[in-house]
Amino acid sequence: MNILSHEICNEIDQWTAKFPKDKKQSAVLAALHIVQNHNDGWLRRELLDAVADYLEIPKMAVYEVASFYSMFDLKETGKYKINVCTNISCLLRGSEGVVKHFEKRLGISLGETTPDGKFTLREVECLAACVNAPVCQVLCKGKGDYQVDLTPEKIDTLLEGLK
Amino acid sequence: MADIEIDIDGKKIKTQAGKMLIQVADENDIYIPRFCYHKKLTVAANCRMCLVEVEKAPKTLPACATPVNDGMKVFTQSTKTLESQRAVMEFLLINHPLDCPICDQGGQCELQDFSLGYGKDNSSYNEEKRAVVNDDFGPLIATEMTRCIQCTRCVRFGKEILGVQEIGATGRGEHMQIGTYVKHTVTHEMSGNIIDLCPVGALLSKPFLYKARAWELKAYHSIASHDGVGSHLSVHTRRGEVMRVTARENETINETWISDRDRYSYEGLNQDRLTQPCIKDETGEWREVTWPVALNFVANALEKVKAAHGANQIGALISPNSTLEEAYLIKRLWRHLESSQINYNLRQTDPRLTVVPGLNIPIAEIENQQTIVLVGSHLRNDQPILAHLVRKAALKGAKVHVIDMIKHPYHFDLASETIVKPSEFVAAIREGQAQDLLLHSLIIMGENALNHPDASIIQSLLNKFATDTQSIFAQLPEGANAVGCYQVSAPAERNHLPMKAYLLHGIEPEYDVANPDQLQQNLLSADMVIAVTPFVSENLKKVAKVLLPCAAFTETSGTFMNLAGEQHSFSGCVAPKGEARPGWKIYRVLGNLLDVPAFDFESSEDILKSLDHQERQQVSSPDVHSRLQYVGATGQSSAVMPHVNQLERITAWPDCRSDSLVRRARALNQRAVETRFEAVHIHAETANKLQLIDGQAVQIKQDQAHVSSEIAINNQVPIGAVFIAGGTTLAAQLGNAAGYIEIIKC
Repeated sequence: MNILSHEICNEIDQWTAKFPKDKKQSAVLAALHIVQNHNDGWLRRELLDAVADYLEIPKMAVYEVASFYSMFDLKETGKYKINVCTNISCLLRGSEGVVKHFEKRLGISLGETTPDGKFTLREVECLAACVNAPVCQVLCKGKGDYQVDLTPEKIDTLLEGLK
Repeated sequence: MADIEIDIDGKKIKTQAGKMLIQVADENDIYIPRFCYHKKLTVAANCRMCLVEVEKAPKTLPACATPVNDGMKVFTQSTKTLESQRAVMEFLLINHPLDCPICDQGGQCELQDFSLGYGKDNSSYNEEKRAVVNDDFGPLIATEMTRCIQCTRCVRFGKEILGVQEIGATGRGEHMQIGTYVKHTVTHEMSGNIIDLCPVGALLSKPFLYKARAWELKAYHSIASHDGVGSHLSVHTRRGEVMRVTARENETINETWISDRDRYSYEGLNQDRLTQPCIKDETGEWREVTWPVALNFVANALEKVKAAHGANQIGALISPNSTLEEAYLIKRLWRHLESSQINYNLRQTDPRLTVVPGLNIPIAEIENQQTIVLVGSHLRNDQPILAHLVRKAALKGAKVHVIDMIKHPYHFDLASETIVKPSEFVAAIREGQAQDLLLHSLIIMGENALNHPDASIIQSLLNKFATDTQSIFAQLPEGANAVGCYQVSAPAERNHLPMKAYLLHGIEPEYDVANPDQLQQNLLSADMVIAVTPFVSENLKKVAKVLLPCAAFTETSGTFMNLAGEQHSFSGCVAPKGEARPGWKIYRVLGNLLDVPAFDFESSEDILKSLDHQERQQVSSPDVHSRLQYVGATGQSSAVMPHVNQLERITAWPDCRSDSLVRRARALNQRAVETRFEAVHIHAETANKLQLIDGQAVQIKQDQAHVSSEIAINNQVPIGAVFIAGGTTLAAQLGNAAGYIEIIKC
């Protein structure tokens, strides 16, 4: 049984159309993004299997890709994923304080999700926006913005805005 | 490809462009250490162990992924090379637990060897090592994934050789692990090869786990005894016990692989062994006797039956896994007794059929075929190595057509697949012939077709078809020595009339024949039943009058002829258990007692020499095709229309139930539990119609037999048919393997 919605399948089809017919596997990254964005921002095992079946590739090929990339979440996440960069440039510009402030405001540590299921906080490697360090990325349903030149005040405003 | 010359360590080597450096080095006995490279797998170049210095290259290069060029100068022993290899070794050992004292791989471990040969004695890594949560691959393969160095040989083997990705590499960097990701048993019939492939102690044989150390073992060459491929084995023994079996390379047959059945069947060697000749006395009690007493008893009994009822009342039912020598001596004995009743095609149900076993091409030629037609052949189960070669052909572009009575899963694309009930099978083959696209194909008539009640019609249809299309016609019956048995002794006409005396050689009457019920009756009503067998069971004790313990697989010398007609001799690896004797010795002495002339054989080689002077039935001679009469046009189908609520029975022998040895192999049978081979398999629609559900307890009725079983929904079975696995307790209680079954709800 296909648990992927009609809408999802249509979106995946647009990607498979870009590759030769027998090379559907090429669309696996795009398909996983689409499925994740339509399903609360994380990928249940059944969804991975469904992607494999839809693309007619071995399930293992999907597990390998999904577990390789950190942008795919294989465990339940909050509605908003807050990715704080703690790489060298941000570190020099005070990312430690940024992380601390997030942790204080949300009452959770890095890698955790708030009990109300709203926020997931985690550290990520360089977001390629060093010119505005320290930065973080706020993701919701696969879409999101960079928040730059972070200060405690900015973080407060940001979190207010997400409520 | 152009001939070029390269220089490795000052040695000038002529070779062809396009080859990888490591290949050229291997061909010239220059050893370069490696973990991830394997000649049968694609190049991954991820372990970096094979780094070597190449002139003009700024850094050392991986020999497995560096194509050779004209004038290339390679240094496998230079300081730069050795430094690189030492650095790689240190790197690979960072996360390795170094638990060699408690690791089964210790003593046969590439990581251990290379660490000694190419590594250094200390490490600059003082941080914590990672540990990996272990996976469970099922009863055959033990895992200790913390030891894994992620060479990915097992992953590539699955993808490329097996065609099924049961194992993969998930996670990234420090967190990468090899495993099944979702817990499940690895089920492929050749999956055990990953144990041989794993260069470290991450993948190990579960039945062998903690049983012995590599340096305590002696390795003997042997030949696999379950299918007609003749896979080359290495049998490892310790103090007279077979401890394990691994693959031995033979490029033209099994390459570097063996099937799981061949690898794990040795586990049955210690079960239910008969260790002393026994005679049943008048009160029905079994009495242990000496060999001379037992054999004199047998000789007298045979002569008595012959005198009283005639020689053709003495029948021999011999296992097609018997050695050539055993089959030949039985043939000579029977000729001396003037009986023609010898049979080894015991699963066939069509009395008109004479199987002419043989592939008729060399085994390695399978992969070069353009078109392959599998007729009633569960090749993956019956001849796993041949199935692997068919897959290779398919990957090279061959068209594979399937006509069968059960849908078998294949790990390649089929050009066409026709699945019909047994009663429609002959018609489906006739229709299949109408397709005009099968010129120069390889037509394989497998066990399911050979066991069909109209097998003789199918045989002649296919034979004519093969002649018309200039194709090769192969018949692949069960057994390791079907061809050898055929060559020394034409099978007797099959009839189901009871005889007065029976010799059972290596068979279990309730499991190894098409009609267990009938044979059981015949045996019980016979005056004399002699069972020559390595194993004893309650049923053998019930039907036999004399039990003679014979040597099992690995305990006797002998010869098998594989389906390609190649003759492979092997020697015994361990002594037979107790008083058991090699089959040929038993028959030699029995022959002497019966005064068979020229029967003083000193060894199995002696017998083979004598056999060379005998006329054998040629299997692949050109007149085989003409000898098979064409009866297709007029041949009467024996299929009878069933009653309304009857289902057509299909029976095939699963690999773990195919002979007396594998039936006793614990791990193989444990793995097969998931296939529910003791259940009655029907299609979901059949179940629906009969209002049955999966797991439901039922009574099944065939002729006079009523048996309790349970339903397994299996959509590989055609609608209106029922699949019952052969060699099972369930099938043992039933009659003919082809026929009609009624399912009654409890």
